[in-house]
Amino acid sequence: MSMEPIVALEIGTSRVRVFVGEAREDGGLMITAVGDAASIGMRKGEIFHFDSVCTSVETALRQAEEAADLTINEVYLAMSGSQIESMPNRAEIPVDGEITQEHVDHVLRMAKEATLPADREILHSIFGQFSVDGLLGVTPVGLVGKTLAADVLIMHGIHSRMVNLVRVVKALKLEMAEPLFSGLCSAQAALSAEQKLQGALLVDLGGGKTDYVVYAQAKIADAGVIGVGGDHVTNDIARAFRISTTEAEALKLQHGDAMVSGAGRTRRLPLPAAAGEVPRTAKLSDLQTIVHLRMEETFGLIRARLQQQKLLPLLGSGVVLTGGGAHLKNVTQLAEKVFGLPCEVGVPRNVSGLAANLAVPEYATGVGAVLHGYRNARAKANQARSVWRKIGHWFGVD
Amino acid sequence: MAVNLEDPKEGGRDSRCRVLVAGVGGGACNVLGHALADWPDRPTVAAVNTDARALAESGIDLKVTIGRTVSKGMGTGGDAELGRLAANEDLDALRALVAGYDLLILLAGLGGGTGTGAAPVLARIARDEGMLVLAYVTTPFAFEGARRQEQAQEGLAALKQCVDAVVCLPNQRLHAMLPPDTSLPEAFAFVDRMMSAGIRGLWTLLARDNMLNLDFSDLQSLVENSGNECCFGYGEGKGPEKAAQALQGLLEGPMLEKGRVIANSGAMILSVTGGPDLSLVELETIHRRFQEAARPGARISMGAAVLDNWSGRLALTVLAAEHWMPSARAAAELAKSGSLFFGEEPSKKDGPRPARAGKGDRQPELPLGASANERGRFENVAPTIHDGADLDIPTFMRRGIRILT
Repeated sequence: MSMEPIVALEIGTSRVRVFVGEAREDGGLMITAVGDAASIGMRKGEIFHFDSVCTSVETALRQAEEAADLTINEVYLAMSGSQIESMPNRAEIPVDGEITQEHVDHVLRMAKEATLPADREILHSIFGQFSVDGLLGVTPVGLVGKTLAADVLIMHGIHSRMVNLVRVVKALKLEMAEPLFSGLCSAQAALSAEQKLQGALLVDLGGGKTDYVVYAQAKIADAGVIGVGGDHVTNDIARAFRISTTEAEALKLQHGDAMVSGAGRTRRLPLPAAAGEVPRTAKLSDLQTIVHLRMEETFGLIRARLQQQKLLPLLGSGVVLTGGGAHLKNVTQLAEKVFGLPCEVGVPRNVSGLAANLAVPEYATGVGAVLHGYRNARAKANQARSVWRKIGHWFGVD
Repeated sequence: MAVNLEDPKEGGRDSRCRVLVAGVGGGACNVLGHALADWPDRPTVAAVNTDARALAESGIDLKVTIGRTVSKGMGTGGDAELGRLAANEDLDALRALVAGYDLLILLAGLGGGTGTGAAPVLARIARDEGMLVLAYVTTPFAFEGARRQEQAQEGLAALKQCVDAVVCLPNQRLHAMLPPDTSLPEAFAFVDRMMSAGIRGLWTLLARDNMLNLDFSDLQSLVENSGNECCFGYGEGKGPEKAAQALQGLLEGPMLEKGRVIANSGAMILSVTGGPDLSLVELETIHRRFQEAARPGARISMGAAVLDNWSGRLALTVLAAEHWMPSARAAAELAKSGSLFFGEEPSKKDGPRPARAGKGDRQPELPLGASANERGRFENVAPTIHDGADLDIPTFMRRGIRILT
């Protein structure tokens, strides 16, 4: 079976990454090249300087093209941004007697047609479950009943902001395969089928935003974005110690810690000082406090949302952290404390190639997007019956 | 006219608070004209202006024309320097005006010549006389031009140096509340109405023997904790849903930046004015909504006044400390009670510690002032607002944690 290489593009706030994946003989997926460039012109997952973003993306693309020795024509685009939200939607139709495929297609079409504000557009409609006469989670075709209902989760974003990201792709003369919500991609790469079944919360700690995706009761129950990321931690540190963001970033990477330690109270860190300035120091525990408060708040916002929807007790597999922020010292310990659930760092799974290099949490989004594209392409080859099935299948529970 | 404010809690202090409301400049005189239209039991109202003619027209208790020499009684032509000189020319008259009062509520429309230039002079005199000075000011609409805006900002900075608290209402915030076809006179009349409603709301609460009393010490404590800058909001409602209407207008309206100001504020005064039909449930609802919107541990003082002819009406005035800067005393109290934090008290081992009160009554190291770069690298990006809180502002700052280097 010959298949075109699958390329995923992730335009993040701190990095732009390109992943090239190819099918292996045994049907698995192998990542054959990675392009990774600093992202310039992005804030909070959104574009604020178009040309700089284009340049950053081009750099990453060229890297990947060189490494894979191919020309990239088409990309799956992983996108995020605090404007992306989700809402559950349900459609119900009366049926008379036996439920047919036509009934199912009809109710799915209806469930997909959510009314959104004028400036918003659907990014994904994720199939959840069917129910017949109130009986949840059934396979309806062939059953007899009075009403058939379909539950979907609609992910939507502000049209103009999503279009801006698509415009970058167009400006670089690339075809767009499909726009994807980056949080779903990360979940796709980092969660096992078992974790999805037992219920899990995936939190992707990006540079400009934090994505979250909740699997509960064998479906995606909630997903969204908090417009707070690693940049906020850096900015907090810069503001507290009156140093530049570059210096704050270095301090964060070297000494950042999500928990405040007793030893931190006595240890002092030298702060960068301009020539002629009196050298200053800061208490390590102060740095830890700044980071701790910000991360605790971010996790707290997600927890509040899950609590409201009564999803917390349904997360049998706990919390999985991906994204560059998952490297932060003690971040799993903090997440365990905030959510009251076991927590681990998630890395891409179910792919081969570059083995050790790929197994880092910040690659989950990009690899997940390739994984999605790969399964999508395979499904196409297998003549999937409906788009709905496909999306429900790939983003739902395998 | 002196007003009695009984203050049974603090026996040692003079229990009478004498209030003077003074408008400086043409814009402020218009506001006063508006406020006086239907205001029984009002405080003494004074107007200070360079334009003798404009002053003659307003029905105000005390009038002081300043700068007859520098401005020839003709106004300043929008020149703040001229306004300042005019006030300096008549220092004695201004000192005589404020003598004998405890609280000066100073009104000025910043951007113009007299309001911008003379208001800080009057404020300084009042402070020197030992008065508590609360300045209610407006800054110009954007369409009034960059020069007025610049002059207004300079005036605001000057005023902050010499008053206890500035309550600033940027007219531009009100802009969003006006329908697009509003005429210029209507826009200014709206500003006047909002300002006069706010002042009257506060006055009513301080002055009358109310159902729920606020007193001078509440105001004083707010002012002390405000970091010199307060924000003011006004909402009103009519009919059976009057409380909900007023709340919605306030919390979702632009005056308090859709509730962002409330979420960031550590202390606020709510003043409710209603008719004999004002119910306990309404008061409770209002209090609860603010408590939900504000940071936990925020000090919310609430007062309610009932006016006989206000049946079916409700007005809600909020005075909120725009930035949280607890005074030494307040910080010490808060640190003791542990309520500087969201949720429970942090454990000693792994939680951050609340700010300790430093020497002196202000904490200069705590960069909570309204500096232009408060938002740091997110300055030019749409803010991340969540439940009214601006998440781009560092968490530790929003929680009043002090970091020293």
